[in-house]
Amino acid sequence: MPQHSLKDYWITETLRLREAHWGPIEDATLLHQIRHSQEPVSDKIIQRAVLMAKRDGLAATIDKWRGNARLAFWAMALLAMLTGIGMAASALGTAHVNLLLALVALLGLHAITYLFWLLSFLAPYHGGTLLGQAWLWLGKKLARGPDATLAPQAFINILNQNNGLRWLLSAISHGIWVVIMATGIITLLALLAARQYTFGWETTILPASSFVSITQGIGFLPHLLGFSIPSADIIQQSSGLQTAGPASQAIWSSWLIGAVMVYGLLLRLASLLLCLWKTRQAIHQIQIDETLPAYAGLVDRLSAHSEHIGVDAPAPALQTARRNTHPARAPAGSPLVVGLELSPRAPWPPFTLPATVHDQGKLESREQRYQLLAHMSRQTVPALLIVCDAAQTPDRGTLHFIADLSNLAAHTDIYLQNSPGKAENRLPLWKERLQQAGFGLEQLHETQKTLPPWIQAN
Amino acid sequence: MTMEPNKILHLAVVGHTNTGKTSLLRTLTHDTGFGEIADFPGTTRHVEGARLFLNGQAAVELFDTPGLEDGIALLDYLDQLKAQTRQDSSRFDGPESIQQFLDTPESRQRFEQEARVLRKLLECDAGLYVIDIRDPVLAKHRDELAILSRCGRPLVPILNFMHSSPNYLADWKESLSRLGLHLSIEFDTVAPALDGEEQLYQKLALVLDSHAATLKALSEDIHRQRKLRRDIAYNMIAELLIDVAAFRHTCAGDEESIKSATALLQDVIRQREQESIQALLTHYRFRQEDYPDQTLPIEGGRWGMDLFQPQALMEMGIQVSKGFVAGAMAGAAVDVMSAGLSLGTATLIGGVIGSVWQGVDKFGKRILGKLQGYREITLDDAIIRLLGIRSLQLLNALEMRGHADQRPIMLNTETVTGQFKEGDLPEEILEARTLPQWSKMSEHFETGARRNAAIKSLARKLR
Repeated sequence: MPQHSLKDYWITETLRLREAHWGPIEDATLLHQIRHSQEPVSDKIIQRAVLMAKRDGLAATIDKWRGNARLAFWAMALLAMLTGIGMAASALGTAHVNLLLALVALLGLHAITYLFWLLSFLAPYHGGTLLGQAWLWLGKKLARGPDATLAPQAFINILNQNNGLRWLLSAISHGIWVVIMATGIITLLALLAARQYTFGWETTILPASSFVSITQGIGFLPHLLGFSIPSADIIQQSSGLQTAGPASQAIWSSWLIGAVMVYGLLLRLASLLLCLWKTRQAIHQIQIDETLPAYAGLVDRLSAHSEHIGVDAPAPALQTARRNTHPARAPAGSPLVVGLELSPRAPWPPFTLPATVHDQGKLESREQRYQLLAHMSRQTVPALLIVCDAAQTPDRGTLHFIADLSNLAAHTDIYLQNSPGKAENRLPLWKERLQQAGFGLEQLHETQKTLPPWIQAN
Repeated sequence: MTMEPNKILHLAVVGHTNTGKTSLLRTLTHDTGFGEIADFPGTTRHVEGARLFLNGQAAVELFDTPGLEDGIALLDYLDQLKAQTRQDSSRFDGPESIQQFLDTPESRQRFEQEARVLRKLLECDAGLYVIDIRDPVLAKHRDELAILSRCGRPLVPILNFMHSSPNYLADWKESLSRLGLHLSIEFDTVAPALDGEEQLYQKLALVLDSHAATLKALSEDIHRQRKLRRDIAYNMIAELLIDVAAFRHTCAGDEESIKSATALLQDVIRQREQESIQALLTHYRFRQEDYPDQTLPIEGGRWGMDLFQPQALMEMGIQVSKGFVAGAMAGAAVDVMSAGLSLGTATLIGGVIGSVWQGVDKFGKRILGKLQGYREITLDDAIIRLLGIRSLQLLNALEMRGHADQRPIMLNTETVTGQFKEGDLPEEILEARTLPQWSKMSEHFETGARRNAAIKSLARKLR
C-alpha cells in the first residue's frame, strides 16, 4: 500500500468539502486511470483527489495557504521575540531587582498558560490552545477566495481525526513560548552583562527562613545543570535593603537565569518535542474513511463491479411457426383429444370426454410425439383438440409442434387451460403467439363452454 | 493466494426460454440496465456478455444467451446428423457432434438461437443452466439438458424463483440427479438471499475446481463490498437525520411569518428526503430510469403519504407529543427564546462550546435575533422519527432486492420497532439540534470532523 503524505490527505479532504458544498466535480477522464487498479478504495479516493487537484490547481491553493500559515507563524514569532525582550527588560527594570517579582514577571504568564494547557487534557477536546487558534485564525485571514477558506477547514478536519490538531496547536503554542523564553534569556544576559544590578528579596509577613527554602528549592534543578545556588548566608544577606557583595550578585544572576532556563525554556522545549512527536504520530495514523456518506457515490464508481462486453451479433427477427390452412386430404376416423406439455400433476382428462372421441392422453416424450404424428399422417383427423397449460411459456418448439399437428387435422381447436391457483397467467401471450401462427381467435378457448360441440359430453 | 493473470472464468448462462437468464445476469452484475427482461419467450435473441471485476481486474465473464425453445426438434436433428455420419462414429464424441451441427445451414435457419447458445457454451468453461422451478419437468427440458451435456462442459443448475409456490423443486432435483447433476444452486434472481451471491460463487468453486481460487476470492470480495455498502447506507441515513435535526429557519415573530416559514421548512425537509431516497437507490444501483412508469420505484400508501400528515405518523406507530400541530403548521417546532440552550445537558453545552470557535459570530447573530423577537423554526421530533423509520425500511427493502425485480418497492410497516418508534432520540440528534451549521440545507453549512463523528456514532445506533 502506498504511503500517502499529509498533503495528499489534505487535498482529499479539501475536495470532499468542495464537493459537499458545491456539488460533484467532473472526473470521467480521471476515473479511467484509477478504476482498474488493484488498490483499496480509500487509496483510489486519494488518487482521484490528487489527480484532480493537479488538474484544477487546487494543489497550488493549498501550497499558498501553507505559505500563509508559515508567514503567520513567523509574524507571531516576531511578536514573541519582542515580548521576550520586553519581558526581560521589565523584569530587570530597576537597578535593584526584587527577585521574586522578577521571577513572576519572567515566568508568571508562562506558568499560568502552561497550567491551562495541562488542565485542558482533563476536559473533552473542543478547541485548542489560544496561541494555536490565533495562528489558525491568522492563516485564514491571510487566505483569499472560496477554496482558500476550505483549505484550512480541511486541514483542521483531517488533523482532528486522531486528536492531531490538539497536538499541533499545542506545538505551535509551545514553539512561540520557546521563542519568548529564548529571547528573554538572551535579553537577560545582555542586560546583566551591560548593567550593574543588585538583587534582593522583600517581605512584610513571611519569615526569612522561608526564603531560604524557596530559593534553594527553585535552584535545585538548575543547579544540576551547573547553575549556582546562593548559600543560606547570601540569601540572608540579600534581604530587605541590605546588599551583599558583587560575588553574591553574580550567584544571584546565575540562579535567576537558571530558573528561567529550566522552568521556562527547557520545559517548553520538552513539551514542544513531545507535541511534535505526537503530531507526527497522529499524521501517520490519518486514514480516509470511505464509509462517509460524502464518498458513497465515489466508492461505487471507483470500484468497478461489472461492465458490458457487448453482443455477439444482432438479434434475428422473432421466428414464428406457421400452419398450413388447408389440409390436403379428406378426413377420416374419430376426433382426437391430446394434452400437450401439461404438468404431471394436472388431472387427465380435464373434463369428461364423450365416448366418440379418441383420447390420446398427455403427450410427454419424444416417442409419444412420433407415434401421434405417425398415426395422424396415416389419416387426416376430422377434428383435433389440443389442451395446453396457459401458465407455461408458449415457446417456439411447442408452437411448431402445434402447427405440425394442426396441419394433419381438418379442424383444430386449442383449449388453454388456466390453472386457477397459479400466479402466472400467460393467456394473452398464448393467444398472441397462436394467432401469429395462423390460428383464428374462434379456435382458441379459455373455458369449456366455448369448445366445439363434438367434445361436449352429454 | 495465487491467481494467474489473464485466467478469466468464462460462464455461459443457458436454459429454456423465459426462465430468468437475463435476470440472473442483472442480479450478478448489479446492473438494472443489462439486457431486456419481459415475460415472453425469446426476449433475448443474441448472446450478450458482462465482465465481473475482482479488485479492478476482470475475473469472470458471464454470457447471457438466447433461451432454448426447440430442444425436442433439435435433438431429432442431431440424431439425424449422427445417423448420416455413422461411418466414422467410433471417433464421434459430443462436442464434435455439436460442432458438426454448427456447420449445417439449419444452424442459421430454424435453430439459429439454439446454435448461438451452443457455440457460446463450447467457448466457455462451464454453463449455468437456469431453471424456473414453477415449470414442471417436461420432455423438452430433458432433451435440452441432453443437448447441452453434449458440449462437454460442466453444467451447474441454478434453481430460480425459489420463493414461489406451488413449485416443482423436488421433481427438478430428482430429474437433475438422474442426469448426474447432483449439485445445484438455489438462487432467486428477483429476491436473492442476503448472502445469495456469495454462496453462489462458493458453490461454483466446488464444481469448477480449476477456478476455485478466483471464485472464492470473488465471493469474499462480494461479502466485503456488501458490508461496505451497508455501512455507507447507514451513514447516509444518519446524515439525513443530522441534516434535518440541525435545520433551523429564522423568521419574524408574527403568526403570518411563522406560517410561511413553516411551509418553507416543510419543503426543505421533503426535498431532503427525496434526495436521500435517490441517493440510497443509486447507492444500491437501482436507477430511476429503470422504472419509467413511476415517479419513484416506491409505492404504497405509506410512502405516497406526505411526511407532514399526522396519519403518516400514526401508521408507523409514532407517539405524537401534545405540542404537535396539524395542518399548515405541522411538524414545526417553534423555538422562542432558548437558542437551543434549554436542552442543556452536558454534551449539549459541550457541543455549543465546540461551535463557539468556528462560529462565534453566527451564534452571536442568533442570540441577537432572539432578542429582536425573531423565532426559530425547527423540525418536530415526531417527523425525525418518521424519517428514520422510513429510511431504515427502504434500506431493508433495497438489501433484499434483486436487480432483476420489476415490481415497485414495497415497505412493511409491521416490522417497525426500535429506538425511533419509542424511546429517546439519540443524543447525536439532540446535539445536532443545537448546531444549525451541521445542516446541509443551512447557508452556513460546515462539515467538520465533529459532524462526521456524530454521523458515524448515530449510524452505529441505527444498526
